[in-house]
Amino acid sequence: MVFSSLTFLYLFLPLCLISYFVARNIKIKNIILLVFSLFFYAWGEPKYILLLVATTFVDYICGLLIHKYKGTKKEKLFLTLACVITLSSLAVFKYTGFVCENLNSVFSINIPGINITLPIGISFYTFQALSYVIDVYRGNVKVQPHFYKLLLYVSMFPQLIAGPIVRYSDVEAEIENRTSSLKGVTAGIIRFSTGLLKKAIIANLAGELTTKLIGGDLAELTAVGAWVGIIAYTIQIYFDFSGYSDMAIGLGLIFGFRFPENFNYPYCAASISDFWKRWHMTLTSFFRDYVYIPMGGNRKRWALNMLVVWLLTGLWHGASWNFVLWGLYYFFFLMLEKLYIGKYLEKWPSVFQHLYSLVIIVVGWVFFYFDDMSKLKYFFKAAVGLANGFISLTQRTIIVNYIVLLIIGIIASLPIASYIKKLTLKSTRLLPGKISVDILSFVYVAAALFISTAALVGNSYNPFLYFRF
Amino acid sequence: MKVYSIMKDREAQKGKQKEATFYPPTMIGRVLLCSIFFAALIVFGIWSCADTDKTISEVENRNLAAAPKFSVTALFEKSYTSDFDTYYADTFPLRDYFLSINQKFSKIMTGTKGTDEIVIVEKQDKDDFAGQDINYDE
Repeated sequence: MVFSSLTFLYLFLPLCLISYFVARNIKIKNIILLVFSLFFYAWGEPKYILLLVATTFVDYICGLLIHKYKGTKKEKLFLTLACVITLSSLAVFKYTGFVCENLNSVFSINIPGINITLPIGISFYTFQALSYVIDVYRGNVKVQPHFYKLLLYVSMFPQLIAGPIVRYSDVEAEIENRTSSLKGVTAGIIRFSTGLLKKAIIANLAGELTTKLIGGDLAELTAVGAWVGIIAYTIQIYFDFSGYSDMAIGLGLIFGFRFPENFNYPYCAASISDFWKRWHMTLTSFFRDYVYIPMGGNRKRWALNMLVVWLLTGLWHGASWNFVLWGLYYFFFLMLEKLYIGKYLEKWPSVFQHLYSLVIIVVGWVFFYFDDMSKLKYFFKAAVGLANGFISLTQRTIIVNYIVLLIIGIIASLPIASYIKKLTLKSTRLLPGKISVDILSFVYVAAALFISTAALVGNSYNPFLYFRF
Repeated sequence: MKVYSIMKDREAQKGKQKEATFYPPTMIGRVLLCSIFFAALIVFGIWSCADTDKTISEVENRNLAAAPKFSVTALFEKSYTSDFDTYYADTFPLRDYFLSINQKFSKIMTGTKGTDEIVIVEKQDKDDFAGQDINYDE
């Protein structure tokens, strides 16, 4: 199930919230949340729910054994075992097809194409389960003696399929005991509505524009079309992903959990290293704590460690060469900043810092978007105007039509929320500031819910919207 | 050497929360906000279950999806759940009203009505327009 569906919003969510808030003690609340979470996953992946439970079970057992043999050699054995099993399930389900394809083309052999569909959210939940075992080994968290509580941590529906990558230490105490305050619930509602708006309106419409401009065979792609197309994708991917994280964090708040933040206005970054402190923060910190630092961090072979981390970051996003390229692209710019231009960059006027970062980020999304290498090359050719010239009538019409969306997308990528709140809080003669903020939040949530519902009903009319052109 | 200075401290990061979390400042504001959210979910939730008898959409000129039949095979092939999603969206209360709102909204955001056929002048040979100053937008 996805958050941006009517079934979730008006059947699953109200049922879940009612049962959850009717329950009085924490044990029943946890069980209700677990049952709903498993149902949520099974709705999208009826078969692979077993894989999720089995992976968690392996890590649960290994966690117990590591705890039992603390201080002996066996401790490391069980850690290795947990890592091998968990990562193999990720490897098998995510990378088998990719590996076979490459072996076939390199050695001109013919391994029959094994068609494994990627279980939803496997990249997220395997990392979460793994972080638990490693943290038990490191002594950062206490071992969890109850399987259902660990399963609740891994499968909790707000963060199950698209992050943020919550660590066990983030929610350890909250699983045992938590309360939903009225402040928390309202903050969660506002956050959830924001995420819904980001996903159902901005991301979906920006997705339409992306597909219209750079989604087809590119045969008529012009320079302006290419750049606006990739900017639309830049908007789509941020609003899609951060919208999902917002909904997750918001739902977490409603249930009394505080999940870590995942985005911090990434397109306001002043450098590429700054961008990676703002984009998908829970993934970068995962790689930092569980790969980069254990490999030696800054102390030894840091360049190699960086290379490994960025290759993995690329591959984590998908089993395809373009993601590897994308990872290496960022490796290159991070090294460049570190070794050569970083110290000059800081002295530039801030407008140039932002411009420099944005250009690199937007061009980076080109590698992310095209998994077909020939299209990738053709895109760059078109982007400099060598394929179909500067602009065509068709593409101009499309861009002019979507101009409002593009402007809203760009403005909404900036930190405007606190600014609006500050502005609203200023008392006027008519209303004290606090009341204005109250009214504003009320109207905002009602409008967000209303317009998102309309968009979801509208989208359901033509599920093949993208195939139209 | 500080190479990979991504996020100094996870706990500090958790406290920072820049993509900000807001809540209404007064108690009444909070109660009202909770009420509207929960009421909307529950009212439409119940309504959507009660009102499912419509099978044809005059506005869209098509048959609406029927309730899928449950079977274990359909469940494991994911067709049951996806058919259910379609059926649910097709029989959602005030569907025609929401469709018209969405059309108006799409018109503002994207210049097109979203669900309508989009009319775009076909690309023609550039030479046809050489030296002419014609606006083909309409």
